[in-house]
Amino acid sequence: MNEKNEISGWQLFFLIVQTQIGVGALSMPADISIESGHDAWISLVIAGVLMQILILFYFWMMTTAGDMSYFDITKKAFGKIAGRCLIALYSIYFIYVVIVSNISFIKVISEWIYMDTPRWVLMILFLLPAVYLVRGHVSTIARFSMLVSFFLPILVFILLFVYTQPEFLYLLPVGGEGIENILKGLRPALFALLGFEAFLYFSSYVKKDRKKELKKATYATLFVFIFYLFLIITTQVFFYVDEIKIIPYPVLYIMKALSFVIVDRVDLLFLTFWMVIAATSLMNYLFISSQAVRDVFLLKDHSNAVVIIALLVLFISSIPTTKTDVKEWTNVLLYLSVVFTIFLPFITFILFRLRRRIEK
Amino acid sequence: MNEKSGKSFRKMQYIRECQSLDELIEQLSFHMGNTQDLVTVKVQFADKESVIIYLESTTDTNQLEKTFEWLTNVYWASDEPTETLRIAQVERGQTLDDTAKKILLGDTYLFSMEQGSWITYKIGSPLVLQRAIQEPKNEQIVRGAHAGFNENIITNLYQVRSRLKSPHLVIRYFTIGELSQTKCALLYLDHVANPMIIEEITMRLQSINTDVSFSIGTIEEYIEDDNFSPFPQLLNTERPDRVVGNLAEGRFALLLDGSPTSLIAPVNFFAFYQSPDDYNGRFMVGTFYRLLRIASFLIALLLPAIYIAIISFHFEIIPQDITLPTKRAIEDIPYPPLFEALLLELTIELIREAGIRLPNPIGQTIGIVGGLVIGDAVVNAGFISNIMIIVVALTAISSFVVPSVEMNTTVRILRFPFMILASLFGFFGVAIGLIILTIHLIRLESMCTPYLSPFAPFHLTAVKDMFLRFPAWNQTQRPADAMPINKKRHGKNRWWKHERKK
Repeated sequence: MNEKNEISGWQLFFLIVQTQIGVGALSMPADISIESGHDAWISLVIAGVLMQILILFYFWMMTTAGDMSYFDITKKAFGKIAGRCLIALYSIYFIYVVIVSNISFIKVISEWIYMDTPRWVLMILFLLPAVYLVRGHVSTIARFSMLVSFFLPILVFILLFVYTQPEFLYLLPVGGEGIENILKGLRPALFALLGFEAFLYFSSYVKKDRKKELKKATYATLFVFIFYLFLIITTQVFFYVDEIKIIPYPVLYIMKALSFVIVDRVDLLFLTFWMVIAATSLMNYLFISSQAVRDVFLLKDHSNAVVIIALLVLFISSIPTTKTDVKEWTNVLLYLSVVFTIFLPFITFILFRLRRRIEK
Repeated sequence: MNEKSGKSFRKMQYIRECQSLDELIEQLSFHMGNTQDLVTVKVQFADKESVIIYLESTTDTNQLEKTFEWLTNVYWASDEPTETLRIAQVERGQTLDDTAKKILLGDTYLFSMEQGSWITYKIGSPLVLQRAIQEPKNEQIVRGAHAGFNENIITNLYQVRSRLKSPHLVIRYFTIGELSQTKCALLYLDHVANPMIIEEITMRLQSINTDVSFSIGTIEEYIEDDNFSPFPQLLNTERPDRVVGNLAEGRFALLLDGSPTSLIAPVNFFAFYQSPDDYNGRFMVGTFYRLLRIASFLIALLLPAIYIAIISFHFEIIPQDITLPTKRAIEDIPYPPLFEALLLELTIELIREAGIRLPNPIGQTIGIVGGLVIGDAVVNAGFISNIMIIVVALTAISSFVVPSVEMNTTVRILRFPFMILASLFGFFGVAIGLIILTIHLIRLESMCTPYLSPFAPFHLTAVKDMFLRFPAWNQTQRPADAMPINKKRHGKNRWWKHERKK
């Protein structure tokens, strides 16, 4: 029989892809363009390279640590009590990530389609399948991520219609915005690529042939990076930079502008598909946070933690109501994520190596 | 000692305890509840007073007559006891209870007393009445074998065995039902099927504790993984060729005496969308129809929901040229779209249910009255828009495309929640419903194997057979969802194609 707590390298690949591609991708071209104008894609490329280096570091870290999970490493590095406190911080951080992805998705959908539906109804509907899935085993989550990834080619296919009348001149002059602006764009670009840290938390479930299988998963970030590059260039050859800066969700606006004989307003269909993809990102974060909570309280099973976290998310998500609130909450996440995805893994790993050396 | 004269009756355990023929008859009759279809005939056998005992309801008397005559002749000729396939001598220590059970199964007993001890013959002459081998009504195909199972398990096993003459085909018997004592057969190929799965099903079958097992449907409920799922987890079929095809892929089949349906597991979702017809035509046609059937699943499930969502939430999705006709059609309808759809769907369900129970010609009339007359009148009366009629009719047709009856009912039931979700939340609700359905399918298992197999987990080789239908020579590997221990289906075919080029 299949091991239920085991995933293959390709499943890890799709888990990372689906964690990375969330709601953010809809607004990502606009977010970066506000900072770095028509050179947004250069910012994305730099961010992508940085992220690729990071993921290679993660890869090296997880393979040298054997088959321990990241939280086990944390416990080993900081000692039992400090380690548990740190994991508690992690769980708060991930619950916060779930909240932010929840509110930003609800914001998109209530701005775009459901202006009058109460937000809490949408949130319950959005969290319900997440709870149902995440209560199960990691292998079902991986399978779902994989299944949902079949949607990505469809989206790419729809967007290819932009290339019937592309305006490549909008991309010129390359580097015209200046280095300073491009570097400013790094921040939103990195934020859009967030989710690659899923590698840390899911890789311990890969049990057979670890080195080879984990290597497959490192291509996930490359895949997402190329997908985002496609998105950003597509929007930039469709809209002029000044237009992108005004419209909040360029990808949706492209869809709205495209009109087919069979279906008008493809954006509504697109948003429905996108909803599934955004939900997967939320599910994966929910799973990670439930794992963290399980490790903090030393629970046997994560399934009850999921329900409690989901209720918590539901209540806290109803606090920010206005657009500026959502923006502020997102900005806080930006700084937190730098700490939790870059600094803490570094420190943890250095301490872990030191401890190991001392023990020897 | 003499109970008879004392009018007292003592229950005995062994045949040898009985002192006379009358006493034996009395005892056996008591052990069988003094049933009145127990026939006792006193005869002379080998110069001795003997008695033949059988149940007239389970015994073929013509056969018995012939066998008994033959036995007598042999005895005259050779003066020795004989044993053949039908005739067996019973050992002296047999209990009356065992004898009664054998008689219930259709055996006949011949008792004669010789010098104070019993000589007992058992003559097998069970009455077998069965329907001829016919094509199953609910699984008709265009080309290919037209044979189907009937109610006799031996005939059914013969049909499978004659198609799989391999020493690897294993048949294991189970007896299910305290009262009915129904014979149940488990079939599998021991060099392909996963032993863990066979062990699992053996355990599940042995754990069944019931009085009567009258239908395979109840067995299904005893052994399936998840009772509360709307999806069937065992494939029902009445076609021996389908059973053989599935056995060869490493699945097992269950046959129950008295039931023409066999159960096949472990199966995945896509197995319910296969038909033996796919393998009889050209592979491109087979693939096309398979994809069409899976599309029919989506249409039957989602079309009314999508229509309701569009009409009540996303009217702007309709392209400009069709906007006006659509608007005109739905403008004067007094009911909300959900109610409209529910009304029509229920009507169709009623027509279907009425059509099944009635004899064929009347059933067709009902269909015409229901479909044409009600449909036309309801639009003219202005209750329901004509677009809704198109949608519901398309949905009904697509729901009958499914080759499997259980999956067909599943689809028909599942579309109601989708319609309600659509009327409440539009596309968002439909998407949420789809996500939950997908998660359910991913979590569901059939005999501990994943239900949505070639897709979640993804197996490219299985997609070639389960989802699409590649040419037979190309399917060199068995689908992975049944976890066969022997993956290789066959070697290289069509090698002459390359040889000739050289």
